[in-house]
Order: sequence, then structure tokens, then C-alpha cells
Amino acid sequence: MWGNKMHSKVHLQLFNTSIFDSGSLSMTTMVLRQFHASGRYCVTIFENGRAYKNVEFDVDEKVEKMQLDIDLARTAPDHRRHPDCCCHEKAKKKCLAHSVSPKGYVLFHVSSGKGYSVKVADKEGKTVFDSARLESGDLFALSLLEPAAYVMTNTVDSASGEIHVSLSPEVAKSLKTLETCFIEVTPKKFEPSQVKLVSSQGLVFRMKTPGRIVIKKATPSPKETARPLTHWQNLQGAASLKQR
Amino acid sequence: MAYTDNCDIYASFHEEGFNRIVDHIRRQRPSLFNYATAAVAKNPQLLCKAINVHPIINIRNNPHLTIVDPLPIPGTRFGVNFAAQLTEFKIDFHPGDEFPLPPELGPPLKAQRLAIKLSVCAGIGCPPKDFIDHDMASFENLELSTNRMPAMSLTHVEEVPPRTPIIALPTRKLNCFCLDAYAIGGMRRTVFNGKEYLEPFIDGIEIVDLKPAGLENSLECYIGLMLKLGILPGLKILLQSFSLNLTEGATDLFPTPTNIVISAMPISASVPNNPAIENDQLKAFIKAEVI
Amino acid sequence: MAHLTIGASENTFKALFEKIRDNFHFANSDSGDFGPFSAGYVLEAHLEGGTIDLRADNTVQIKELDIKWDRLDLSLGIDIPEICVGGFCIIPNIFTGGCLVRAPRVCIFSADPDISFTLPLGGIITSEISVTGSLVTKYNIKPARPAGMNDWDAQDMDPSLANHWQLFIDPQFLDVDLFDIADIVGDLLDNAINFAVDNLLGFLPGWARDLIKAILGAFVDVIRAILDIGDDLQEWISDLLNVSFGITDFILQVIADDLASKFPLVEIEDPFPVLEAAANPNPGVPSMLIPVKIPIRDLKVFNNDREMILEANVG
Repeated sequence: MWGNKMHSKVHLQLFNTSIFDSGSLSMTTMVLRQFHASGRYCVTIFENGRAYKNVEFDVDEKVEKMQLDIDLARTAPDHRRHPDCCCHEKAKKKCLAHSVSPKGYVLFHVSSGKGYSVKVADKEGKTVFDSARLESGDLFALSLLEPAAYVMTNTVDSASGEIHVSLSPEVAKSLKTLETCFIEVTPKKFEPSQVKLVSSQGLVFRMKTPGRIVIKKATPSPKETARPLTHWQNLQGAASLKQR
Repeated sequence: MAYTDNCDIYASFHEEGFNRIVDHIRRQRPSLFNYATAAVAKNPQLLCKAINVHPIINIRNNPHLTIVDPLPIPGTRFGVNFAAQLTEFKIDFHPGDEFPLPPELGPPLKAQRLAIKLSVCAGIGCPPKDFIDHDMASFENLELSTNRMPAMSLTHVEEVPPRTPIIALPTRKLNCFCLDAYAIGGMRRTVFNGKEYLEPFIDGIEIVDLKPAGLENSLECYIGLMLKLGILPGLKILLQSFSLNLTEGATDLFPTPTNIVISAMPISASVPNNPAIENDQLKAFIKAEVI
Repeated sequence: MAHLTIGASENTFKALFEKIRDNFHFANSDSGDFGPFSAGYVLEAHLEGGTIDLRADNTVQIKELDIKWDRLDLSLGIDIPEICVGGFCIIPNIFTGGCLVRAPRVCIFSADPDISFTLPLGGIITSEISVTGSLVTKYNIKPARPAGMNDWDAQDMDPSLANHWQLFIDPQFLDVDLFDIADIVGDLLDNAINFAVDNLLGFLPGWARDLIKAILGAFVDVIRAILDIGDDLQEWISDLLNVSFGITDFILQVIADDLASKFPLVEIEDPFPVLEAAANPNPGVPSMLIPVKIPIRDLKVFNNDREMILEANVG
């Protein structure tokens, strides 16, 4: 009667990402920085190391907004744009980002794709933030979806730790009420160095020392074979399938 | 008491309706009631009574009468034209209140019996006197040359060879007469070509006041034979038709054939007569069997 | 007194009815949007069973006539809700207990996906209808019959263009117990939902499907909630088919119209042939004489609790 097709696309990247890098952002990973000085800031967005887009934002004392989200993927539609456009020039409407309070945080995230990073320069053009190297006070947040054992590393000082992600039927019931887990990143160590998470639970690294956080699966997961697609129209087989 | 207490389908015809049916039959099948020679058929103005036909008879070229051989003149090859017509045919079912029966038929009408009142008109076409006296010889010669028949003479009485067609003598008119006759009889079931029919029969006929008695008896015999062998068998009605083909259905709406077989209920204590003639009606008790 | 009287016993009447009952076939389809879901159906059905009762008040009652669903497919289309991760609190508000900065939500699908599936209800639904009506006669003239055509020519046409008296049941009351749905429909629905979700997510690894199920809850429960099925699935389906789609009204209308004007119990040709065609007694053409037909007039029908009676006059 109608089509039996799915009418939307699946973000497969959610399910096949196995490396989570604060210096190379993808879906479910994000970095946060608090910009205390008021003024205009210019963000240069890099995709796989190539700069292609600039955006601006303002830090304004008069603004009470505590969170400014900048989607690095959505704000960069044209990869061929000259990297020097917009910033430090007369601002054009499409390059202008919104404002945030000096007490607030700018959150850089990615709605699709991977390999994103940012550099933020102040009005003098001085780089004040580089997501490839987080400083004390910065935050790296992510969700790990796949149940597995992971190794977390600070590539700056080689601190390491373990993360165990699981999803059991018991905890699955409380998925929507999980508390965020916090890890302090101090010189040469993570505190705690071992955490147990539930699939999709929030994880936040609070940087107390410069670093770049990389999380990888400890062992490659067993090859997953999706259940074969069955034609749901053939409901005659439904009973026999249920019995299997 | 229900009509169908002892049958599946009950059908009854009141005598008034039955007589209307007979009228329709007379107009739509006039050849059943009118007989004449070929010459009279070609000249219908000679008939004793004009035949009232349904217009469809002429549209479909159906005959108005049945053609019969001329009445033979013994000892000759010749015959005379004639016509015999049943001009009235009226039925009265028991208890018989439409017309009185002559005493010879033993009134009152017995149970399970019907009475028929007939009017028969007939006439013989006598040739003109001057034809016999003056034109016969040339007529004979003409017929001889036309029909290649051996020479014969009226003065010589010779045996007419068998299967020789009778030559009708010409006539300008029929000498017509009409008689009223009464018959009594009933209805019976017959089977013809595997189908059940209801057919009228007679077992008594009387022509009123015809003298001498021998003539009356002879004509009664003849008319009776005409009815029994000619007219009445033509009036047999399919039993299925008696029930107005109730179980046939509309073949354009229901293309699969009907699975109901129609037959007459057997005679029994609860159905002592089938068909039954009573209360001025002809009744049939029909079995409808689903196969 | 009528010229012609025909009585047909209740058994004969029943045989007449069974012929038209067996010729009933109806089919229909429809679809609609009902907010959180859309639905549609395709149906084909015929009639079986039923008992005939001629009643003393000149009515006819047909009881417990079964509607046999050769096909009754109910198709449902549902937008399943967003399946997203993220949204967790990154910086809690230590003063108020709330959250100052929260992670954005990342959804698995680019837009709300929809799934659709079909429940084949034909074999698990029984329906029953009872009809009370009176017998009526109608005089049918074939529209294709030219004016002035005689009755013999009309009968000879293929198809026949003869006029007919027709006898119908004119329904006055129809009682229907349309949808008695077997309990197995619950399993049928669950299987259909799981199948549809498998089709949607079957390509994903098992842990991803488990996560999605954990986020959504059990698919069957989610979809039942979207459909607002509640505790009684049978009642929900019955309401959807009866009230939302009006299948009851459709079927009642079809049966009523067919009984009253499309499928006559009896059809009597007018004029009615009483003598078959016979051989021409005279040599030459035509070879056959016309059948003898009698006009039927004033046909009326009535019944008591034992028989149907037709009365008519010869025209």
C-alpha cells in the first residue's frame, strides 16, 4: 500500500567509530572551552587537517548564555572556501556566530563526519585555543556506545587508563537516568584510571594538564554479523522465525 | 393450513385465468384450433369464422391453420375443400358452475373433473353446379396434363391408385355450420422426452340435439378424436412452467446451472390427487429437490 | 381470487436464497492518516451459512450469515520516535542541582524513520450478519431493449432482453457482529512489528540493535503505545476497521443493495412462456412455431411463517 522503505538515513558512523580523539572530533565527541575575555573570536575549522571555514563568535558580559554550541560539520558547507574569509574583516552575516557569557562555555561538536579540529583566535589574531592540544580548564566529552574494553591515553604525557563499557538488560532499563562520569586528567595520570560505563553514558575529561585524549578499543571486537535481513512482508514465516 | 404442507411448491390456476391462457394459446397457436385444405388456406375469406391471431403470428410467418387433405370423393381422385374450426373453448373446473352440462354427460360435474364447452364450425366447399355440368372435363384434362396422371373418365369407375394425391375441386364458398359440444375430462401427468407435463384429457363428449342419433354419435366420435389426438396434446404444459419456473433463476446473474429438480409429488393420502381439480382451480403439488 | 397462486415452502425458499448467497462477493480497499500512524486495508469476502426463517408478520429473517474473509489485510505505517544518544550533563550546576552545560543529542536516524507492516487478518476474523426484511416485487425492463421490440424478438436476443418480474428481499434491519478477532492476533502483531524493525535495523551490529532497543524500550511496547492499543488489541483493531474505516457500513450497504436490487430471489419472464416452440404442421418455413407466452399482471408476494406466496393475474 505504501512503500515499505525507510525514509531516513542511518548515521552509520555512530556504530563503526572505534577511535575517539579530542584532537580529531567525530560524532559523539566534543571539546569545551571557557573564553573569559570579552570580545570577538574567530574560529578556524579544520577537516582532516585542512582549514576550510571560519566562523566568529562573541564573548559578551551582557550576555547570560552559558553555552554556545558550534557544529563544525554544519557550519562548513563549502570545503573550497578561502580560509581567510570573514574573520578580521568586516563580518558578513553568514560567518557570524552567536554570543556567550564569559562564564559560559563554547562547545565544539560534530553532527556528522569525522576528523574535525578547531583553532580559535582572538581579535588580535592570536591563537587562544587549539583543540588538538587541550589546556587546563578545557573539557573533552563523549559517549561510548559499543560495549567493549577501551584504553584511554593522554598522548602528551602518555598517561593511560581503562574504560569498560557494557550493556546488560538490567542496566538498559535505566539508560535515560545515567549520571555523567567524570575523569580528572592530571600530569601523567587519569583519576580514576579505570572506569566502568554503560553504553551511551556520558563521559567528561576535565583537563588539569595539557593533553590530547585518545580512546581506542583494547582489542578488536569480534566480527559482528548483522542478522540477515528478512522480508517482513512474508509474515507467513513469522511464526517459524519466532520459534527459532 | 398452508399450501405447501405436503409439497415444496404449490401452483394453482383459477378457471378464469386458465380460460385466459387458452385464449392466448388460440391467438398465438391458431393452427392448433383451425384446420382447412390448402385452397382454403390460400383464401382465408372462405373460412367459416375469421381467425383472430396475435400480431406476432404474421410477423413470424406462423400458419393460421393446419393444412389438411381435401375430403375425398369416393371412387374418384377428387375431393372437396373443407374447414373445421374450434371457435370457442371454455373450461370449467369442478364444482362446475360456468355452464350447465347436457343430461347425457351426467351432471353435476364429478369431483376432480373439468368440463369443456366447445363450439365447432365447419364447412365443405361444394363446387358450383355449372362447374360440374360444364367445366369438369376441361378441369380434369388440366389436372391430367399438370399431374401426368393416366387418362380417366368419370363414366368409368376405376380403382383410385394408392397414394395418389386428392385433387380438390374448386369452390367459391364453404357451406358452414356450427355446433356446440360439451366434453368432460380431467388433467393428467405425462412424461415426454424425459420431462413431466400436465395434459388435459376427455372421457365424454356430447353434441346437443343433433339428429339423427347416428349422425350425432359419429360427429361426437370424430370431434372427440380431433380433441384427443390433435388439440389436447398440443395443450400440455410443462410442469416446471406451472410453478412459473420459480427455481430457474436469472441465467445472466447466476451463470451456474440450477441444482433443483422439479417433479410432481407422488399420490398419497395427503396428496390424493395431483393434479387436483377442485374449488374452480387446477392445482399442482410439486416436489423441488436440491441435488 | 387471483388467477395464479404459487406457494413455495420454507425449504424451497431457502434453496432460492442459497443461490444468491453463494453469488455474493465483495471487495474494497481504503487508507487514511490517523495522526501518529497511518492505516489501510484490502478486503475480499463472500457469504456462507445462515438460516432462513419465514415469519408470520410477512417478514423474512436470515440469521447468522457468515461473512468469510477471503482477504482482510490491515496495513499500518508508524513513525517511530527519535533514537538519540548524548544530551548528558557536562557541567552540573552545583548550586541548583541542575545542569549548566549539556552535551548535544546525536540521533541515529537523519529524520524520524517510519516502518510499515501488514497484518493478514483474513483467517482469524469471523463475522456474522443477520438480516430482517420483507419480500418485494419489481418489474425489470432491460435498458438495452429498443422501444417497440416485440417479446419474442426480445427473448431471442443474446443476452435476452425479455422483461422480468423480480422478487427481492428488501432489508429493513441488519444486525452485524462484524469482527470477532482471535487471540492469536496479538502474536501476529508482535511478529509483524519485530519483522518490520528487523528490516529497518537488520544491517546494524547486534550491540547497536540492543542499544537502540534499550533506548526505545521494547519495540512492540513502543509501537503499541504509538498506536494507542491499550490492553485490548482486538477491540482496537475492531474500532479501527469499524469506526475509522467504516467497513461495517460498507458491508451493510453492499449486502442491503445487493439483496434489494441486484440479486433477485426469483425472476419470472413476462410474458411467461407456457407452451414451448413446436414443429410447424405445414410444410415450408418457418420450421418451428413460436412459443406461446402469457402476460403476467399484478404480481404480488407475501409470506407467512411457513411459505412464500405469489399471486398474479393473466393479462
